[in-house]
Amino acid sequence: MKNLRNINIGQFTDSYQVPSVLSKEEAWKLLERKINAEITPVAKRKTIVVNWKIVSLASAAAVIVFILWFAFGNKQEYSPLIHTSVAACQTYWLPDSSKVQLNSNSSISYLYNKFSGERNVKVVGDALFEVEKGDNFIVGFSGGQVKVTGTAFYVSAYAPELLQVDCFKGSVVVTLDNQDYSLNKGNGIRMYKGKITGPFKCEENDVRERLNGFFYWNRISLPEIASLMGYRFGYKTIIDPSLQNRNFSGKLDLNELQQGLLVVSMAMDVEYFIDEDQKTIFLNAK
Amino acid sequence: MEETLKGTEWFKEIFDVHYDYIRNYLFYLSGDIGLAEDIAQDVFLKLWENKEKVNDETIKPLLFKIAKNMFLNSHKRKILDLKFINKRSDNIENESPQYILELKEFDIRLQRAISNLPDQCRTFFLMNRIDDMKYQDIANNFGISVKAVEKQISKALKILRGQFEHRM
Repeated sequence: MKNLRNINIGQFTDSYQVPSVLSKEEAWKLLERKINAEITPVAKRKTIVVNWKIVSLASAAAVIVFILWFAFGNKQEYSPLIHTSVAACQTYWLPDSSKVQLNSNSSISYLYNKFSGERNVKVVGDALFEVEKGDNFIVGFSGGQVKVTGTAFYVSAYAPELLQVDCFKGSVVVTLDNQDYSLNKGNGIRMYKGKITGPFKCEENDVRERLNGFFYWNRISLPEIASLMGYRFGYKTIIDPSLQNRNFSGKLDLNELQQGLLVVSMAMDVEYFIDEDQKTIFLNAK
Repeated sequence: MEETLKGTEWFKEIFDVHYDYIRNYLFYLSGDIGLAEDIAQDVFLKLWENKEKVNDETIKPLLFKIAKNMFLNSHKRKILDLKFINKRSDNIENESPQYILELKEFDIRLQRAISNLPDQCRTFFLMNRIDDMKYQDIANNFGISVKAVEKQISKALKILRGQFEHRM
């Protein structure tokens, strides 16, 4: 006599079938009718091709402004600014053998304090740090800092309103909005418009993928994602207030602005428009 | 009107290949087949509206992405009650009444236990078992590693086995 003890749960599940209200043929016919009747007319979207010359000029202007600020506004002697252009990713070795991988449209500058042994880096944008062991290594950015001795972590700091730190080796102390947070391996923290989220779990592979332009998000607000996309390509973003609470989940290829916006617009049912003259992305509800 | 390269023929092919996967995925998320079929329609309409811009090679991950976000943004999480059709029930006529009864009870309990699995565990497990999607295929479509998929499916099996091993 057969006994339920011999049943393999996996194999038992193989015999399951998803029920249906409509057959596949009926579903196609319904869809075909909708297409033909234009029940959902295609909204005309004005799409403008990214003008890379303008993007390059804007990046160059940003670099010049940054250099001028360093020359006249900052008395500390940081190294000359290192900058990556839009959609580029470059690796740099600092004098202490620490490795920095700079993501799109990002800059760093380095200062070694001979008296205290402290290593200081200023960053604007996205960068992955693999720090050699030694004295304090401090990564400063507008709105906070990360303090470590020897570890690996990713900083996203294009603007003080949108900051994120992911630690995937050792531990780091992150200061955001004048508050200290201790992050261990596999943890990240994020601040968007003054609101702190985390610590949350982060996977090293997902973090490293950002250097290839691939970003993985789990229920992150649309304005946060849109802002990051804008910063990566040197654009401002203006988002319809009704979209503030919309969340996006999934992986995005942000190697091209248009492609990234297209996927987001389709997945979130929103419209986008790029104003090249004002270097602004507009996201609107449909 | 002149038809573009990506006309209804192209769209029908895409629909034929991917519809079942998308509809089933939405069912695994929602537990409501009516809702799953409604959202699946919207997902394909969205693709149709943007057909000239999409890359044919990445259509499947894109469809999953649209489906997931359409579902998450329009429906709050609720307690699921997945009800599958069990093909096995057709082939048990020669078994003893006692066994048939126990099997049916087991089936009900298993479907309830699957409904209670965490979202990602449940969807990946069912895609692998019911839709015959390989780990690599799931990983490609959701932009995660094969190891992560393996981990989620093992977790699902572990939870299910844990619930049944003492009762069978």
